[in-house]
Amino acid sequence: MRIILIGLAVAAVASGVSAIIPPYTGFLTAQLAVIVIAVASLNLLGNVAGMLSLASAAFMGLGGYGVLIFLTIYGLPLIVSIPLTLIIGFVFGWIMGLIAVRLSGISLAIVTFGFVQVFQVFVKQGGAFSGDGYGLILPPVEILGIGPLTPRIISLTCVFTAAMVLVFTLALTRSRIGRAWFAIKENPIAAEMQGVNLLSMRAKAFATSGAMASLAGILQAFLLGITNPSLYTVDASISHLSMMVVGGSSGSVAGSVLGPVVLYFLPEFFHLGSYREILYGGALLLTLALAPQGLAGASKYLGRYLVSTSRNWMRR
Amino acid sequence: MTNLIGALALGSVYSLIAIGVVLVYRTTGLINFAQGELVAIGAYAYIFACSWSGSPIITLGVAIIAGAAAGGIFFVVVHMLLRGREELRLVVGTIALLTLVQGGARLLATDRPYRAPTWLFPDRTITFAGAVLPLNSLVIITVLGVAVIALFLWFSTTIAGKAMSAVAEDPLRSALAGIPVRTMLLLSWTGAGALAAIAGVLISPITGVFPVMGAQLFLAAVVAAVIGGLDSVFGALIGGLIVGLIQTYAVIWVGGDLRDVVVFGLLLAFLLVRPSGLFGSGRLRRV
Repeated sequence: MRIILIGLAVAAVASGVSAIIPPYTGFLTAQLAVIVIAVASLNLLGNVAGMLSLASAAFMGLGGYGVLIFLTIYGLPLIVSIPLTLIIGFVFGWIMGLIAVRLSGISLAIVTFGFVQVFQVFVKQGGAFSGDGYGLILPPVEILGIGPLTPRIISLTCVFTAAMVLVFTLALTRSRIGRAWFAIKENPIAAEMQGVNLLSMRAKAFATSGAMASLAGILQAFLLGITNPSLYTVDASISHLSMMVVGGSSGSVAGSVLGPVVLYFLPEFFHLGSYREILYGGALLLTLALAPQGLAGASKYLGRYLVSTSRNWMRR
Repeated sequence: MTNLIGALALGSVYSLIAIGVVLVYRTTGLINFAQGELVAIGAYAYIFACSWSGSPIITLGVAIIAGAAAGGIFFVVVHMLLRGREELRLVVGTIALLTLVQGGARLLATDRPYRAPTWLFPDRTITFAGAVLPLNSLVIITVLGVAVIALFLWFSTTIAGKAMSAVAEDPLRSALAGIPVRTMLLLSWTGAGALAAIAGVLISPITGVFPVMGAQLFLAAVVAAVIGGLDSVFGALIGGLIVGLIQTYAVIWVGGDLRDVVVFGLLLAFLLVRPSGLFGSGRLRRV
């Protein structure tokens, strides 16, 4: 309960701040929020449940294309389209989870890699559902009673949702399910001996992560106003993976925010876009070599070190 | 007949890449996600060499040296820089290498494909038994044959080849027997790099040379390795040819862009139903 209240307060403050900063920074912040959700979904899968996935881009694509297909082709209202899309992400995640149970970590990485390639085929060759390969455009939408969706409202929603998603993952990792996931990651056989159902737990982890990534995709589609195949390539998945590893492991919420801030927000803010891949790859290698726990782990260590040294210094 | 030769040529390129995947997997238990980038490095080295030399031996040699050197650097990164990390983190390390090579290629070259001249013979066709055959495809198939025979002889007759097989079987006991395990690991990575570079030289006249060229080939090659059983060089050879045939005939019968879907279906089918592949021993690791 306390977590949720704190989360609400943080979310309100964050949305408030993003409402008063200049438009471009506001847009970047909203993009950052979308990426934070995607990275949090990978974090849940990788660092909590111990599965390496490269499919985050495809799940985001399911969200983006799903919601725009429901809105434009079937003409459904917003209130219906979003939950339906989330369910689709959840179901696809569940299926991927059932496959994952039978595979080792490396094979799963290959399968998720292939899934993104297959998704690319569908968004390029999906006929009317994919806008003949050019992608879909967001129609003018109205929310009940508030009026048309303006960029500012969408940006606010992105930041608020990201904060709520982080609270949700924090609560989830501390629940019974979260502890079961940690147990599976540390030692699957011991976890099974304790009565953890491996099959259902892995499927649940993938399904939750799939729904979260779809949510990120939905928000991204609203934020950009379009979807197109180039948004959902393996490169996007790799960028999320880099941010997850650089941000930090052990499923901490701080990692899901630190990674995107360092690898997305700062480079964009300082216009280093053309060096993006070098930055991702280099940061990834450095993190793996020097700070396996990522920035979150390193800062925790640094914090402890500073506290203890300052205490010693005070005593002297 | 023309289609068949084309399919086998495409399959041969996959086989060359897949054999590299298998060499690395056998000795280290890792799938090198940057194997496709070794192909791109070989292709870039090849067109660079073509700009100042016309000799097919020199241009191929430069590509092989570049690929092998890149493989060696990958070895240093994965086995020395990241030594002692858990397996999945090493895989993430190869993904980092993939990103670095692609990003580097984008910075140094352009996204637009470079045209590459055909290796050995200029682009032409020969007529054999009433069928028109592109000479280049026949060259590709021959090169695969030569490479596989050379590998077979190396594994079965030389001490180093046998030592490498021993390391693949059991690194700890090989070390006790006095085999320099690390050198053997280095050899398998450089070998994988050299094979990928040859594949790059052979495929670049057909696809052009561009930063993400390897990523497109990688999925098919890794599926070929899975079909072959991941730890069998012969299996990777057959697997590559199978993938080449299926892709080509899928394009002819079902239509253009479903070929990645067909390959993905094959991957899932083999991993779920027969994880040890056609020729894999199935005893190495759970896949």
